Amino acid sequence: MNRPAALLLASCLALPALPSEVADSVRTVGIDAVTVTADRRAKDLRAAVPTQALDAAEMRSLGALQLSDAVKMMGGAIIKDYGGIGGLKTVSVRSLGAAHTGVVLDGVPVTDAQTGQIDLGRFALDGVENITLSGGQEDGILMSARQYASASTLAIKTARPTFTGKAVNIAASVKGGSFGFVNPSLRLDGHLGERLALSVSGDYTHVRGDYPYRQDNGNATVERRRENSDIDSWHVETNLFGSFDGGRELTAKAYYYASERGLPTNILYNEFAGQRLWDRNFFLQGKYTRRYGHRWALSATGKWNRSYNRYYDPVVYNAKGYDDERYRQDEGYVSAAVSYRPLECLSLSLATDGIVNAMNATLHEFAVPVRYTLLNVLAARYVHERLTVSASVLSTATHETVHRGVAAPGRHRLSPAVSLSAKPFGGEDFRIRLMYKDVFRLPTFNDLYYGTVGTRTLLPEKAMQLDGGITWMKLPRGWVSRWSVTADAFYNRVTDKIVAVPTKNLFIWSMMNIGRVDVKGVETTAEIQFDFPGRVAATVSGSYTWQRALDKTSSTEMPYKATFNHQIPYTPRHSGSVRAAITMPWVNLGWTMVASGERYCNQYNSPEYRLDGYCEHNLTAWREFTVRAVRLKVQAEVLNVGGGNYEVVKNYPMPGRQLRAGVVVNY
Amino acid sequence: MNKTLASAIIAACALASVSCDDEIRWETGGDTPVSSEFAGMYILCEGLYNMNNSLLAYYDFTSGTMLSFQDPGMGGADKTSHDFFKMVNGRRLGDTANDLQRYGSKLWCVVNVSSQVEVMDLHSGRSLAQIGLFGDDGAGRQPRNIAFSGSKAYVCNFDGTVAMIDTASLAVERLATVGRNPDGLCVAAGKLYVSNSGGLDEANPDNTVSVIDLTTFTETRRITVGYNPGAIGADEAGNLYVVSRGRYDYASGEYDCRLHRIDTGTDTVAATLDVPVMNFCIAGGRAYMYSYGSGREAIKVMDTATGEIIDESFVKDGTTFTNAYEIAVNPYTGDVYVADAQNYTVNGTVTCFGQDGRRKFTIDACGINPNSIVFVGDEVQPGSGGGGTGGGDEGFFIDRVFDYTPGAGQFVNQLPPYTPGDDAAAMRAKCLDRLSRGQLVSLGGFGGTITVGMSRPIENKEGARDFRVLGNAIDGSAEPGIVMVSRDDNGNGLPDDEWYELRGSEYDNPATLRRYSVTYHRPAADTDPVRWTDDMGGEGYIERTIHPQSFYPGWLTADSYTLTGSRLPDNGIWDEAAGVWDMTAYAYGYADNLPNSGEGSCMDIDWAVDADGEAVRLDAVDFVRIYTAVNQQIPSGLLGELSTEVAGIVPVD
Repeated sequence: MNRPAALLLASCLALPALPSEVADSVRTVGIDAVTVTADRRAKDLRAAVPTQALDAAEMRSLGALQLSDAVKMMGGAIIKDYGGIGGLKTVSVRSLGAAHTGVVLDGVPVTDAQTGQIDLGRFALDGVENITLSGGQEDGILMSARQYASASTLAIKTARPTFTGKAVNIAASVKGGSFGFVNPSLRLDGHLGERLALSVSGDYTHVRGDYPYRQDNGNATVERRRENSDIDSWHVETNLFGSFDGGRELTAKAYYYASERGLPTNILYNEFAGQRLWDRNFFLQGKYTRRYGHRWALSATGKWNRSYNRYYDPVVYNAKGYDDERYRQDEGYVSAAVSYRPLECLSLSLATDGIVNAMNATLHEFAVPVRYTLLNVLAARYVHERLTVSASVLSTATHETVHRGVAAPGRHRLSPAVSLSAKPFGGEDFRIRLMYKDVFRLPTFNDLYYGTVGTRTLLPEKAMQLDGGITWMKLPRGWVSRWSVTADAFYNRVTDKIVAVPTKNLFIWSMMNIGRVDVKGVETTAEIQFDFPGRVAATVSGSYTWQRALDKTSSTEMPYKATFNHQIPYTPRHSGSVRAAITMPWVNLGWTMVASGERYCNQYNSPEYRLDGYCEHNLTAWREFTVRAVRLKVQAEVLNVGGGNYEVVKNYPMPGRQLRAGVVVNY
Repeated sequence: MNKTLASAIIAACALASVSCDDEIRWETGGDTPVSSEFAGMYILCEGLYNMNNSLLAYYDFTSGTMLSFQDPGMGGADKTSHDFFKMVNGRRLGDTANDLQRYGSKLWCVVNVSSQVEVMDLHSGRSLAQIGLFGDDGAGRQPRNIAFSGSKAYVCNFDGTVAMIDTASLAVERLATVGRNPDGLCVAAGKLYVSNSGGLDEANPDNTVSVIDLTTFTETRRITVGYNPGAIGADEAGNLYVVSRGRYDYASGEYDCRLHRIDTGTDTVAATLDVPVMNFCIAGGRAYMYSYGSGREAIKVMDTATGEIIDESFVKDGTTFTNAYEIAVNPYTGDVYVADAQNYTVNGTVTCFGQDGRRKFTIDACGINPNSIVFVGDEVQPGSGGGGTGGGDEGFFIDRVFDYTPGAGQFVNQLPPYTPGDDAAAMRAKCLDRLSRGQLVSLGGFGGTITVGMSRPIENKEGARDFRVLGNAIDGSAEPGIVMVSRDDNGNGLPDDEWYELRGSEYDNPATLRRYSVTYHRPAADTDPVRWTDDMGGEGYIERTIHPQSFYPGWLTADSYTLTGSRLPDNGIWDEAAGVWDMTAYAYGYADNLPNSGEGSCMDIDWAVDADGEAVRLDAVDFVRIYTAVNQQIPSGLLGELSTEVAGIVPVD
């Protein structure tokens, strides 16, 4: 602990003495959406680490409601979807597993120390300016250390209010759709003096979710309805944006989310489903950045998070006759980062994060763990017209205590990363990129302490990533105004993979570090943009990923039926998506397709565990009207146009055809 | 430029696709054993929780294959499925099938998460009924295990109940309340014993065994054993054992298992053995027990009568297991089968050991977590259609035993076992239990008799044989018994109407004696031979053999008893050339005379004659009586007296 502590101290002492300058904040006032998209795409292509982004306009053309709807369009991302709006949705990027994907909301990580994975279904896309999925860290250098700590990062950026001669903005929307979907939302933006803007938003979602599906069972196949699949969720958020003289920026957020949902089942010959889940999450976060002249910048971030889950099963044949378990997590987080630019083309940064995670649960003899994490990162970045090189090394140190039993030992590791982007041919916007990154994830509290399952001696799960690829963009004249392609080959290796293994019997599973997965694959994306006469524009883009994520767990662990070289569960060899949007003066249309090849639902790839591939199409149409100062947007969507029930996760059927319509009023 | 780009793309793709072949080492499924001693075995694989992938496989020992079919419901190109249940019934078994048992001509499967009891025809696997077990709130009761007695099946449910199901109507008749999360149950000494695990309360498991009186079907007592009791079983003599797994120790990751012996007379724990047993099966007075872990000493053998471990390490050839999940003894061969769940998430295996503890073969179970094995004799041939031995009739079975009076004999008091205190009624119930399972009942020496009723009358089919009497005759080992039939003319359900003998091939043999009587005399000591006298001045002894018990029926209070009937000529012949006794079969018309699978075990009601030898025409019969028709002692220490054995009655298709 001594060395990281010293670093933290040093960086804190160094901060006040720094000179200052304002950075240009990303203000998009009055800029045409298409231009923004083009700029953003160009920026993504320059990145040395594979980066994909979608902005608000693109997400609108997808008909996306939840964050997961947008992420599943991205190359290399495999969404594990338990079906329906209330079903858990997690993302695994390039087969590393959901726990290796960090979610960052407005620059501050959203975490769950209990499960290590974030439900992407709970983030609505209203008021989101863009989302970015990057195979490594984002390219900005002034980042918290924690943003270097995930194998890949999904960043969500909330739209910053803009005021065109008004004191107040009002946005109200209501959406409705199949299976009892209702979703009203309201957002108010206002000035607080010259320098501050305040935004308050809230939304409510109700879904009955009782969609019909076919339960395949040979000649006893039945049409069933998804029972106990309802969800009610509330979300309220307040954002404060401040820009001050002297290059000072402040953002702060207060966030509250609450939901209650049913957990459906799909058991043959038994339709009973009564389990309920409640989630509550509240956090406060703030971020302050200041630039001192051209060379120095610093940022400070703080967050306090509390989340609460309750799981209720009305019929359990224990002494009580039911299960009612509650879980509470607290997280305190502070981060300080400083960057220095000794040369025009070279930046250095140092960031220190301190995190405290605590968890309590009503489980029998629960350990009540507290984890202290200290992260330090030193990063350097060289930027030249023809060459960008980034390198970083992250140090992670943890210490854990428990109220009961034995705590997991502390861990200390260094995680290096290097990336490079070169533009070898003068005027041609053709780049070659290379990346190496070696990070890990800590075992979650569930991995370590959950009843008989948890294993306190677990080692961190390591994820090594190698990527090599090209990007190429052209801005020709004529109807095709822009096209771009990317192609990457990657090799990932997960070692000490944490897997649940039944030990004594089927009732006693334990977490063990026995797995190893080697992933090799190719990920390609392409985008083409048309500008037709008569204010008609179109964009077509697609992604295709081929990956072999093979279980390389030693066959000595499993002498019979070794799963060595079998594709890991729920990982298709082929996956891809296509989206097309056409904007016209009278109406805008969008079409998306997400396709997945065959997968296996078991680690042993025999025919009986094979899941068919699927292909889902969505159609969207929308139009904006302006009546004086009021902008009105009307949107209609048909989701899963083909209407077939498919399964992403075995026994969790997805809904068939759904209709959705909404209206948004902006003042 | 473009060339460079193209080569860059090609290089990128090539980098990723190097050696993308599937280097999977596919298991071939192990050995392909065949046997002529029995037909096959069902293997129940429970699958994984919430995956709806329970599977019933059938391994055919005549052809040496696991039966399979092409399932159009499967994804991908290879649609080969080993789900025998789906092959026959066109649908799946459900989620987490926990138990599979054979009873009579039916196969019973308990499907825990689906909360169903699936009743199948043993011969064909065809589902006869799916019995849902749900509470008033619509929640599944989570049935766990099944046991049988007489005409009832008993299913313990995790909701703390035991359901009584009529084996004929297949209706749930009553529920009895027991302790928390009953995990195992068995019938012993005319009572039902249920182990209450309380396993869903990790902190506070149950520690009792409920005793249920089968006549009132209510819990009469709870016996305190160790915590978290599970596997429970009894031998034929009523020695009852139950495993308690204790509390799970988080620190060591171990259970603390004990084996308790329960005295079924006093219903108290007679002994607690400190042996690490998780599960066991009992056959032939021995318990074969395994504990978790893969060590070579994983299987121990215990004498159930004494509770002594007689073999600390049954496996003699070094064969090990990953995670033993079930153990079973093949009643046809005595071989010991161990199912191995491997890592619980891939298909398991089944390994067969001879009684010498040496591995004979290993086959792939074709499903995840194999937990039950049911062996099927050659009287049944699944999937063989009309060529079978009359198994397709699920509604027909022996449902009453009116009389069981064996002649003295070496298997008397053993098949079925006599426990001190049993009366004639208890022995009749044991006979019914054995006949329902297709197990042998011995009729002992000359005149020994059993009278049974069936779930429905046997129809007399024009010009065809009507029913098959199952025994254990093989070539050179015939122990003929005369078969009699009766019709319930007075409609009182009792066999008090006129009886007709089926006229077998020796009816007109001049050496056949009619109305011949033999009287058996109680020996002075249990280990003495039993003296007999006949009504023609003859006498002799039922000689002692290797069997240790008394050869005189233990439940008879009289010091002698007399049995009367037709006596066929002796069929045991000394074969001078071969130096063996050859017990030759008669041509037709007798029980336990010719092998079950052939026509020789089939009877024709048209053979019925009255007491005067006149043929009678019966359109159907309601009762059948069988008695040992030969009075011959084979002077060999092993063979003993000729005694007819009966294992059941089935109609001919």
